Amino acid sequence: MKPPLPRTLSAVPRLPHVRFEIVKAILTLVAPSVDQSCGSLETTAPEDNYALARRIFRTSLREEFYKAGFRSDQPRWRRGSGRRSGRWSGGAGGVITDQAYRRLRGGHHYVPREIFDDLFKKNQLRPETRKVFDEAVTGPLPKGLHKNDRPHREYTKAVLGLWHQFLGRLGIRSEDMTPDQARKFIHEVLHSDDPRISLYNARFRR
Amino acid sequence: MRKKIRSKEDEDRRYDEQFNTFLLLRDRIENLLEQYGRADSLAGLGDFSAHYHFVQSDQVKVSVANLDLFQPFIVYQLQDIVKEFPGWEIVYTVALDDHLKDWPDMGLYIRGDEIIDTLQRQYFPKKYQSIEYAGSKRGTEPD
Repeated sequence: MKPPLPRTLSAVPRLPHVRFEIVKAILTLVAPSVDQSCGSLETTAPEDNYALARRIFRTSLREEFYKAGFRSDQPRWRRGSGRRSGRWSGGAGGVITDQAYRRLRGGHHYVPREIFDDLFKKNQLRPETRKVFDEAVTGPLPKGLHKNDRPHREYTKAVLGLWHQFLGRLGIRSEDMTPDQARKFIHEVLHSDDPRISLYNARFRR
Repeated sequence: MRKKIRSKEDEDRRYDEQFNTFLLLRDRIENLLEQYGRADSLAGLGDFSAHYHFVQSDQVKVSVANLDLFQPFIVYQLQDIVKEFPGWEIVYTVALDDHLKDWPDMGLYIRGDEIIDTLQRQYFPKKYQSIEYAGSKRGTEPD
């Protein structure tokens, strides 16, 4: 049997709005109080209490995000991307199988599948790393005639440039890349300022 | 309500069938082209790239960076493959690295029963300007 939580923890629901009310109360308590005798403001508001209140608030937010499955290291759409801003953009999470990829049902891979699969076939990419790339996909795209579009080639070239920079910076070869490093690379692709990358990816934002 | 659920299931089933056909055709194309050129890879750019984008249309798109891959005998083999997939087409795009910006969109739309040719040969080096595909139709790129 799990030991019960301390009374002070179990008595108050661990919900953000409840925590927020608690923080507001703490702030009220630590705010400079009025000296009743002469009506002047006390100047000795304890600064460390503000820090304490901030810490409680941030900790409770982090806990709630964690419980909701939020991970700050996952790649997200950048600010200014419309309704998608801040939302997960793929590239993180557990490994998936080829069958699972089929369930993802197509879409745009941020690192084009046709270029990372080739490394995998040549044993230059670990299966678990490949699966991270495989997972970083938009999911089903809306119907459309995929006409002659050369920007795909430019996108590939740009991603390739980033890839070599990334490997160089880390001093690794593709076969050494871990799934975490693959996630970091996808994050760089998603946040790249290179217009060949950002404009191409913008096509797939609905 | 039940009708709605059924139509959603039908839609999903159709999507899955189309997507599986797409993957099959795409792999066949890549396997053929690998006999004549190198596929793009994270290790370096190659001669072609058979895209994985699936946009719910009966198309597989290939970017081609080497005009040698436009030789008729290769294109006819691609046509033989696409014949096995009625209603599908291969969008075979000219995407030369040195001319990504200054050449217009052009390529071939390879279907089981026809080839639509939108190549603008005046841009090509002389040895490629005389390339012709038997029974092809000249066309323009869709807007």
